[in-house]
Amino acid sequence: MSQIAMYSGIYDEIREYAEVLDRVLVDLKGGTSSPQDENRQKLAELLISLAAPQAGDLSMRLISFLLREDTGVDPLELSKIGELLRATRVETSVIAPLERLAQSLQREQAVAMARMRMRG
Amino acid sequence: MNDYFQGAVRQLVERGQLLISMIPTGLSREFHRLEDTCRERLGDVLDDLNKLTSDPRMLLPGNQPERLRQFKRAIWQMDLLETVCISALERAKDSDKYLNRLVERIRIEIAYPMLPPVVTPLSQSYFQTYPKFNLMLVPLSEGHFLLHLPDLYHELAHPLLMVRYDRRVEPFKNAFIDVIDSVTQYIEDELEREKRGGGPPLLSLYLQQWLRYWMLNWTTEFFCDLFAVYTLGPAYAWSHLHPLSYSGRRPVHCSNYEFRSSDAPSRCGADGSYPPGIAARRICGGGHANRRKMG
Repeated sequence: MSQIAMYSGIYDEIREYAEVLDRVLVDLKGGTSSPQDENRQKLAELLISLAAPQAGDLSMRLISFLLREDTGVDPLELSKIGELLRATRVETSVIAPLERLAQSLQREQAVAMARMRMRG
Repeated sequence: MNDYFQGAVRQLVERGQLLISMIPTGLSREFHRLEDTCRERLGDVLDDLNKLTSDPRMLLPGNQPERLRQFKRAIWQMDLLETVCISALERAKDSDKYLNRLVERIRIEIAYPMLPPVVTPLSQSYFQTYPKFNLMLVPLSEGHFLLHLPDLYHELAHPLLMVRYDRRVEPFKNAFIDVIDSVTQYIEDELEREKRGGGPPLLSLYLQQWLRYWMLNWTTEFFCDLFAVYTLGPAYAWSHLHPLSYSGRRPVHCSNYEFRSSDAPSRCGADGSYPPGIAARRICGGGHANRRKMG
């Protein structure tokens, strides 16, 4: 059997988180982000889970696994940012690492798309 | 640049609307859910595209990376919807009903906890499932032959791994998580040992690749095979003799599936092919002969 099922699942999950991340980034840059924001809370959960790869649901584990393989992503740094996003007004210094994460998610999504185009 | 972007978005919006208009009217009820999914997803993509040109924040120079990423995602999503879902709807025929009815009968027989996937004979590469679309692609002539039909059971297991909050599926998903956690722990321990012992770098590379295969492919395929064995019985194992025979792999090659660093990579699936070694056959051989229902 082909790997399409897995890659299409990963593609969708990554797409969802990439959407959330970009929305939070726009809010952070515009100074309109709040800890109560649903997107921000969801992103915080993902970031915190990066430092504990054997936690969270299946999709989160798979995304964590893929991102840990990316040298541009520092799980501990992102986990700390996740804690900040949950609790307080955050500094603009978090934008650069989040931008790197957004690029990493984009790369993984492109890989999943390419795998699906190859029909598994 | 902004003019280009506006033009590109307008073209993509036009394409999305064209795709919606290509959905045939009067589709049989087997395709209704897929049609609904297509319309909803295409609508979401079009909403996102419209925001890219109308939301004032997306015009700010500092937000151009986000704007470009969102634009790429919209293109990818539309590509996927066009090549997979709209194609399945556009070529839907009365003859598709046979496979869809067969899957519906299987679903009832095994007490499958979800709606049946739409089956369409569009596949260019054996059986494929798109869980989020609840869509299964099979080769064009598949409905005319019996030998591969046990693979329908395997494919039915794929969407189960994506289900959330359904208690009937939780034991299946939890067992899956247990396996990937155990594999991760085992291979990471091996990697650490290799690092300390200063072993050959090639072995560490193999270990990393094996971990990737287990995480992204092998565990999923194992679980789908197990689902098929438990729901269908030994017919599933025997149906695999055929694809393994013509795919050039030796179905009775490995005598031991112990994961040891001394194993030659080719014997442990270092190329990522599934099944690695004879693991699947051994599982099938030890499986239950009687059909079982879920839950």
